[in-house]
Amino acid sequence: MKITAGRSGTGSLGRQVEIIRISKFYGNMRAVDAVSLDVAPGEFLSLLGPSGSGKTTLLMMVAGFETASQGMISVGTRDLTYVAPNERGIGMVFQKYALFPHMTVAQNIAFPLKMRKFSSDDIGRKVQEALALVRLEEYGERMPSQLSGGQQQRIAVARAIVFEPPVLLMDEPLGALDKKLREQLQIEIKQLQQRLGITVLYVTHDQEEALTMSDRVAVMNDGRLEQIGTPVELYERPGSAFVADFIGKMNFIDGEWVGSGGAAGIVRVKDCGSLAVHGNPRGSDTVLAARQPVRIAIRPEQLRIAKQGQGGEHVLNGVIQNAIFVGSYRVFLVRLGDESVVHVQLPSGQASQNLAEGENVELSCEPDAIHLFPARAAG
Amino acid sequence: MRIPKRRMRLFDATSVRQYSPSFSLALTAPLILLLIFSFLYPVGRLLWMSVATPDGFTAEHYLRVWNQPLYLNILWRTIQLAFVVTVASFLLAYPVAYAMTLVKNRWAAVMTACVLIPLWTSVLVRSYSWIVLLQRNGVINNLLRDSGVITDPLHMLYTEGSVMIAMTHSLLPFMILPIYSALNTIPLELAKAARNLGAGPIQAFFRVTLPLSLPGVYAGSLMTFILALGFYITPALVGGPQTLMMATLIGQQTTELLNWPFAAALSGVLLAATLLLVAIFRKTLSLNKGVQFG
Repeated sequence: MKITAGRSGTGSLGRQVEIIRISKFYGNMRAVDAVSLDVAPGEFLSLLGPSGSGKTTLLMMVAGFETASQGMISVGTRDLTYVAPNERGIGMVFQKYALFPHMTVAQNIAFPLKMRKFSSDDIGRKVQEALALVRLEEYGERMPSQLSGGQQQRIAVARAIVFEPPVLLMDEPLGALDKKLREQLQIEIKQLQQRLGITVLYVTHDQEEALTMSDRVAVMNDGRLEQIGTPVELYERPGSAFVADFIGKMNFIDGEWVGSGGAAGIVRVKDCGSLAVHGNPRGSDTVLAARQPVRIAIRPEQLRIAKQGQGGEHVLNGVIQNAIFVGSYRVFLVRLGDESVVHVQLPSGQASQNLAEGENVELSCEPDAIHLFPARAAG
Repeated sequence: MRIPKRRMRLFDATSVRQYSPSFSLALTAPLILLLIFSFLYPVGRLLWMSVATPDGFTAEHYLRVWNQPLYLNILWRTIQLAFVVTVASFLLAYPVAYAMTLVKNRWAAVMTACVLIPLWTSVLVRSYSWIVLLQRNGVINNLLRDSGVITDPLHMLYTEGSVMIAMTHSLLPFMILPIYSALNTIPLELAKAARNLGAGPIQAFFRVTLPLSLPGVYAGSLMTFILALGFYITPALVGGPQTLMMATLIGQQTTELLNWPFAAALSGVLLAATLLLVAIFRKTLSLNKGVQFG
């Protein structure tokens, strides 16, 4: 995909965003609890979390629509914690675009320039440039209601970047669009961001979207920052059971620690076998005691299936409950001895064709690909 | 903006076209008959009465309205007063309507009740309450006298001012409710977007919220203006002989002077004036809308 240039020079708009131990309390409720974030200039950072995790509240504090109870927010070197929203100079794309329905597309984009008292010549030129940037040059005189959802979304982006803000905030901007359009716009927004070098803080509850677009992802849960890292780090080395569960598909299996067996430790799973595991539980340095309950997490694509007796030393025994063909891969639902069901994903073709429903199999996994977490709290 | 569209689709689905024309007619017939017998026929009779004589037709009564400055003055005063009442209602109603959209659940209910309860109260009661407040030995005069602000009671009742205040009070809900419903359909995000794009709170209001609420303002103004033009009870009770309005003048002619043909002619003039003003109002608005909403 090609983005037509409307602007000379690329990539130096963005400023650093620093969020230092910011909190927001509503009565006794901690919507955001001492979150610190450091967004590099030109970085695309997503705030990812389920609804009620505080990600939108955090974004609203950066935009200035909510006032922080504690902590500090700064952009560049400027402290913005208590600055009025209209004086922050931060661009924002709202969930439902928030285009002004009584103004034409061009008037919408001209709005921030008018507020900044640009000359009408400059306004005309910049509006045209912004329209070119989102490839809607011909639509300036339309009313927003005459545009499709995707077009309205692009206009909202154009309006948010036309005054060249150092930071762009996006609050689930693609939530209202269908899947195909969403995927297309994800790439477009990402390319636009890279071209302009603008710093983006992007709120979403869609983990796939966050992984696709972001340089780094900050996972939020219950008002706290669970983990921050690149998409690959979060996927391959989740720091907590919550992150492991939220990012991608994950199987959780409860077991107990039996102790070291050579380089790896051994976790026994009740009634179905054991697995070799590396290291300590994530997020703690404690040395595990024998027979201590633990939780292990394995991605569906990391599990291997072997016929009975061929799996190796440390395997889990189970029965194939369902074999589902999904095009490029197959999903097997394998019931373990403790009645829990594990998802296994194998490439279509070759070996996976020979596995039938109802067959007894052995599951195995590389020790490196198994994530070890403390056992679920009782109750 | 999405909700009205969906609603429209709902209407399309149960469109008139699904029923045969005769069935549609049968369904609307009771209302049409009611309107014919209780509205069209009496108005027709009235207009007929204003021009008919036992021998033929006469323009005598209309000429009398036209030639006597007194009657045209009263018409002009009525229009002026209706205009002032409309403007005063707008100025008082907008902040109330705006506040109603800002407050949360329980207070919104309280405010709505405060707006609606007067609407359900008889105009007669509300007009008498103004007499109690404004009269020579009324609540306001006594308060002012007791607190030493004045020594002699103020003459407030039976003046144009008292009519204006009482009419504004009576008509306020008709202005508040349309403005409230217009403001309520404006997504909160729009004002936020304006703030984010660099508008201060006042600019955001005048550039986004106010223009988007104008349809409600127009509807409320039109309703208030029309009702004010023909208002009878309040001017009759709190207005004096010096503050005759068209409606009270017509009342006088029918009940006291029993000059029905002349009263009918006055009614015809008021009806024509109202229709003319409404037409002008709508014309200006549709031009305005053309520019603003495409």
